[in-house]
Amino acid sequence: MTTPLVQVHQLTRHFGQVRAVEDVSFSFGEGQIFGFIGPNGAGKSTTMRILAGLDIPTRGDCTVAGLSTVDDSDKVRRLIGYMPDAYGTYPNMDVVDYLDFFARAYGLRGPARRRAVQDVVAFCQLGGLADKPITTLSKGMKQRLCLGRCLIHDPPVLILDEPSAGLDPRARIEFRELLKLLAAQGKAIFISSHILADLQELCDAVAIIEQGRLVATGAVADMKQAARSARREARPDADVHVLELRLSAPFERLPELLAEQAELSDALTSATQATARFAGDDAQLAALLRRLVQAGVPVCHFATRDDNLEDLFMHLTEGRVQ
Amino acid sequence: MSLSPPEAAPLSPPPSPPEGAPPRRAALRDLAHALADRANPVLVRFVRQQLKSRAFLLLYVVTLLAATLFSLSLGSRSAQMAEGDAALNLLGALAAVWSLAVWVFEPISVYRAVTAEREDATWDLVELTGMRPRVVLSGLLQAAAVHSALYAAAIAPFVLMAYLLRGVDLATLITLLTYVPLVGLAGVATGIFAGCVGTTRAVRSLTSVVLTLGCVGVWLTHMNLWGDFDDFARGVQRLLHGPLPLAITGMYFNFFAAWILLMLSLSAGLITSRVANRSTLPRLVWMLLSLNAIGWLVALGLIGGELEATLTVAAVCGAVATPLLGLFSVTEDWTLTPRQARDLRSARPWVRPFMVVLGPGAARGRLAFLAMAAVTIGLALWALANHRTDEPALFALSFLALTSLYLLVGDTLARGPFARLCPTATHRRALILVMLVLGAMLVAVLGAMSAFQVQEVALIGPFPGAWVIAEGVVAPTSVMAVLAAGVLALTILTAQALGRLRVTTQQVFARGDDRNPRAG
Repeated sequence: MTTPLVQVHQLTRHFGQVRAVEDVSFSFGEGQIFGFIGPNGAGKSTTMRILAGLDIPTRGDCTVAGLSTVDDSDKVRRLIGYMPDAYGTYPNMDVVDYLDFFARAYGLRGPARRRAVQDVVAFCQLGGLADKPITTLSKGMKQRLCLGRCLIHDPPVLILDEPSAGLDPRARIEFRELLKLLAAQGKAIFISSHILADLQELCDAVAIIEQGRLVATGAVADMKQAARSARREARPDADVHVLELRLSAPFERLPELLAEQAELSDALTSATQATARFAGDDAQLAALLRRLVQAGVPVCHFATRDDNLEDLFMHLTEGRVQ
Repeated sequence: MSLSPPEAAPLSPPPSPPEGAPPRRAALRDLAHALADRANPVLVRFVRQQLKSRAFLLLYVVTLLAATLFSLSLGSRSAQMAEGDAALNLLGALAAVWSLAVWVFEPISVYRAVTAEREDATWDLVELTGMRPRVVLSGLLQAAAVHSALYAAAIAPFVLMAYLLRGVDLATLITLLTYVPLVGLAGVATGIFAGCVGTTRAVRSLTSVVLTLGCVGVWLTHMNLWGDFDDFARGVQRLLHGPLPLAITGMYFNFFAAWILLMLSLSAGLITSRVANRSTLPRLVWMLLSLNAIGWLVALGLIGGELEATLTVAAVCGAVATPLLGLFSVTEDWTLTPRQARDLRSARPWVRPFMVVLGPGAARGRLAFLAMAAVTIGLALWALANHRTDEPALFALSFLALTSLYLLVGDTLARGPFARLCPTATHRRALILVMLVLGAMLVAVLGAMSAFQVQEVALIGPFPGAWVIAEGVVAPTSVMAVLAAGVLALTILTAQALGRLRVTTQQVFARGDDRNPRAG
């Protein structure tokens, strides 16, 4: 078995009494996109900073290509492209000058530097904005520019902290496609995001962290399977799915009504929507729909589906913060 | 990089040399491109940023306008002035305008650049590139030098006009043209240092105020000189036609170079990660500056025929510089980080012998302190044997003896009974400083209680102790006791250093009191 490109081993980081990260371990290899999911303050950014060699752990170690991010941080930094949650741009600078600065800083010279800047501008589709001041760029364009900065020295590992935060849907989709291209080129990508739908589509594997502790890690499909198996153990007599319900108008008694249904559990409701875990067969599903309609619920959408990452996240975490 | 471009407008290619250009011009252009290509990245970035900054452009225009107005005003009144007065007045006015930009605007602007870089998370990005802190900081200094040259270009035609008006000699003009940028660069280096001190908002507010007041203060104190430029010219003449014009010119440049080097090395030490080797550069710079000072004193002594006197001064300077080095080097950790050990082992063959005193860690730190102490003792003994008066040499020897004792005792306490209170080198330094302050206070209290009947009380503090010994008001046995204690302290430090010279490493982990860098 080959050694994973990135390994995090029993990583712990305390800030005084605050246990930001506690005994976290995971690993991933080249060409993989590894998602890092957790509520705000869960320890995602701290883990990423340590992995980038910008902070020191209280215990444990991280290695990139077998090099310690603490003891060999000077060598590891060349192997990493890190995109923090803050943009990190300079005033009075245009796009090409910004990329040129980082290309110079990474030691690229002459034609190699010019080619690197051109490639990145082209890859991140910044060509039309090359001479524009960074401060005038939209959020989506700034994110692309920052991704470009991460790529300028062609690192094998990318660490992206909330790269799609605040992006509009089109920018998000475009950004996602860029990441897929990079993974296809063999780069190992470690990405954190709150937009779980994006991660579900992108990631080969994920780690879910809460209050600094890892609550689950592995391939998304394996985690779904594990969650399904766990439910099957609890209810061996029935299939368990997620039931989605949408109403044409608000229905005040919906939470109570759903709670009364024996086949449903873990119901989450809003004014005109609800999701719940349904355990049963098709006949029971039809009966449930009939009961809801008879109770006067204005149902306009009623369907079951498999678990997605969001369901897993909600199932595994409790929303606790430190 | 094999990034496949989905759809993008290509960037313009780098300029290609026009066909048929003369070979010499082409060679010059190639050289310029090669230099630009290898220029410090921070220099390139900062110059580009400043050239697009509104504040810089505004100040540049104001400088240009002010120089034009002064020139027109003085030019129109020159007929009514005595010969040479117009030129002197014009140069004074130009110097005032130029120095405002270079002495006040530039240091503050560089300070803000350093603090903004560290606050806006861009420092992380720069750190990730692997650029060493000293490269980043020297880039900022070089950029400030370029800006200074740009301001000089704005006033250059008017300076030429002043020279052509007659009344100013070339030496005065050259002195002015070097003095303003050199003070400016020293200010910028200080601004960089101020920007690297502390990361909390309170410290930054304080350093910002101190730097601004300092820069404005220096500028204001020179206004009198610029207002009476004749004085400046006369002063230059006096120095250049004095007994040692070359030595004075050398010392003038040397002072600024030393200050800039010191500020940059201290700043680089402040922002280097504790995992890396941050001992060698400041230690090397401190030792070089000390040797440089001794070199100048020897040169001045030889030229002036007062070698004994200048070497005595060198001994006193060494006695002050050595404990300062010791405070930082003796208190370092015994163990090295794996990265420091790697740096030590992978040093180039010609550097390796020097790493015995310049390498990181308390053992090599002790040897560095001992090496400087040996030079100081040598100078002091030579002065004792040859100089007319013994006081300065005795002062140097006793001050070194007492401070060595304080360093040894303080460090031993910090690593022994107070180890829990002093887990880091910074804590150990603080403990030694507290002991020095307490020692001085004890001298004052005991001295007041005994109404200075017993002068030996002063020996508790290094400075009063050395003073009373130099004054000869304590018994010779007391002097011998102090010197013997100093020798004992130096011997113990030597034994400690040699006993722990073998490299031992320890993995670095975050400490409980390490600040959360994301907490702001």
